[in-house]
Amino acid sequence: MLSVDGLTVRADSAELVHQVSFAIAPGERVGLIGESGSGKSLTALSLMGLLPEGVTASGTARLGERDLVGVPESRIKDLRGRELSMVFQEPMTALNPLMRIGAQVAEVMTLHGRSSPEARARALDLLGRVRLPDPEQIFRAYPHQLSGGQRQRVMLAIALANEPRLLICDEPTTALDVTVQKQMLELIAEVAPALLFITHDLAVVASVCERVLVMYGGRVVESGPIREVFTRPRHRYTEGLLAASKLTPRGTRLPTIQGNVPPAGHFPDGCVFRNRCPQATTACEQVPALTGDGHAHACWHPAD
Amino acid sequence: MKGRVNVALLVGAVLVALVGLAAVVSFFWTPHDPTLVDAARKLREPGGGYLLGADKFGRDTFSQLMVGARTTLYVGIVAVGIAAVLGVPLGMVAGMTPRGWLSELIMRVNDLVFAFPALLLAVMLGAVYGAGTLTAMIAIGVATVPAFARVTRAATLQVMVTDYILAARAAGRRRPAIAVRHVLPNISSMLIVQASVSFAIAILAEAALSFLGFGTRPPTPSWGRMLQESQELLFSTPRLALWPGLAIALAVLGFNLLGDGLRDYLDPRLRRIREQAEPPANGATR
Ligand SMILES: Nc1ncnc2c1ncn2[C@@H]1O[C@H](COP(=O)(O)OP(=O)(O)OP(=O)(O)O)[C@@H](O)[C@H]1O
Ligand code: SF4
Ligand SMILES: [Mg+2]
Repeated sequence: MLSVDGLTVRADSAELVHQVSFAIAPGERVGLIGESGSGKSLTALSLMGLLPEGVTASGTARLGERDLVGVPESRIKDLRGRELSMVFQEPMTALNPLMRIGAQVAEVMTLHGRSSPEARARALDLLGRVRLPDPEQIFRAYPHQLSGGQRQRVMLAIALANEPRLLICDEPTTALDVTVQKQMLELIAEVAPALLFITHDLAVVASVCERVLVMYGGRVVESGPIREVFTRPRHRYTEGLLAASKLTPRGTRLPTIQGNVPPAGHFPDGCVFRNRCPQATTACEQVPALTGDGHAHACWHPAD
Repeated sequence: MKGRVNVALLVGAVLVALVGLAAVVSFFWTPHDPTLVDAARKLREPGGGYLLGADKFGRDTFSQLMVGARTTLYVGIVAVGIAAVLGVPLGMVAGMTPRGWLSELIMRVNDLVFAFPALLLAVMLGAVYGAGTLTAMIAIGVATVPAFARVTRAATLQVMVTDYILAARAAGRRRPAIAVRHVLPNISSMLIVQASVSFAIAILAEAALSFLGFGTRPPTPSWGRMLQESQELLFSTPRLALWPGLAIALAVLGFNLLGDGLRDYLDPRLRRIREQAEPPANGATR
């Protein structure tokens, strides 16, 4: 249903995302993990056509028959919020502070052609569906009167309003505390039609997704079913990520691998992980290709 | 809301309200006809129905001040109106497409107008189209457009990077709709502040133009012209310059304080602190 092929994102001279390819089938929940700065958000934003000024995407991305990348914004606007929705990280700032919740939920439906009484009725429904207590009261409330978890539910209601085919969540629970986070994840897993879920947190991705893409340095370095990737990581970066996560308690933001993520445009050539990898050899000066069906990896010296 | 009283806002509002009150009442009532020339009352001392005395033509100073307030507000409103109607949309376009050629063009033309002295523009317009209140208002208004456009652009840039704009775009909203529904309401507090500060500047500019003879024409009373007419009597009858001067100073101070006070009052960070004092919608998870 979603197929991404050779997606590359550039800002001026620097290449921020390089030749990313993956697919998501209807109903499938796919996780996208990696350290900060690995290009996860840019990948998601380029699918939405929402890249910041001065940043451009090339390659192809298709949702059904429709091209998402390399077409003028006017041609994908009708897809956004209807076929393809996104929930952002910061629930505190993602709602217009001056509009009532109900109006903001209804708006996304009137925008795509529903009559406003119908949209209002459905907005109330949706607020119930994302398990907000007392939907009627929330409907009339302003964003500042809601907690972070409640606002994030509202964002989810907005994202689901037009029954999209694909939901993209960019670290939707990072800003929430752990108990609220858990409820939110269960809800997302339950209501998402098909899901691209971005996170730092390996435990989160394991609880929500079936398949995972590991990104580093703007590339997908490993991909496959969650269970296989997590129990038998092949790429050395994934291996390091998992090892580090065993040492850090759940919910902490960054598992630590030795060394730091270089700034964009300053990754080594060849394997992007080369400067931090304990297994690196001269072979790693050549770019490893992503190989393998199902469980794929891009590493010259994969783990076992 | 309880808490610290905003002194600037309070004083500013009172001063502005006084000017407004004088202007409104002057439509219905003034102690004397402010334009009535009467040699018998020439330079009459204050007292006996002439609260602040009369000028060299025998016109009642207090009545002139009242009607002058009207002129002042009139000029201020129209000038700020022109500046806002032109400057706000231009600033929003520039702020919403910061890298586009149109934005570049707008901001460069803006710099050009900004570099041009407002008074010179008024004098030139006056020379071509004849001096008068209307010319003065247009000149002051046009000269204030860049200030509005800049503030609007800066505020728009701030709003455009917020997540709710991204979310609105993610929901499929188009640019003009985002401008009206999301950007404008969220920059309005900045614009209100800018309007009151511009108002103060417009008052000063009108007074200066009238003083130079390029503003309000006789017989319409104007504070600036009252100053000019009292010039030669500055040492013999200083009160004639004192009152309009004081009126101008207090009006300008009033609008500036109002602007400052509103800035504090509408500041989103302060607003958030106040809002946290309110109870949330319900007692669920926080
Ligand atoms: N507008 C931009 N111009 C230039 N570089 C950018 C821009 N936006 C992001 N980048 C760079 O692109 C790289 C990837 O950014 P991205 O936001 O996709 O990372 P991420 O994986 O989502 O990280 P995080 O987990 O911190 O959200 C970063 O190095 C970042 O500095
Ligand atoms: S390709 Fe080489 S440097 Fe890269 S992860 Fe594998 S072993 Fe390490
Ligand atoms: Mg991100």
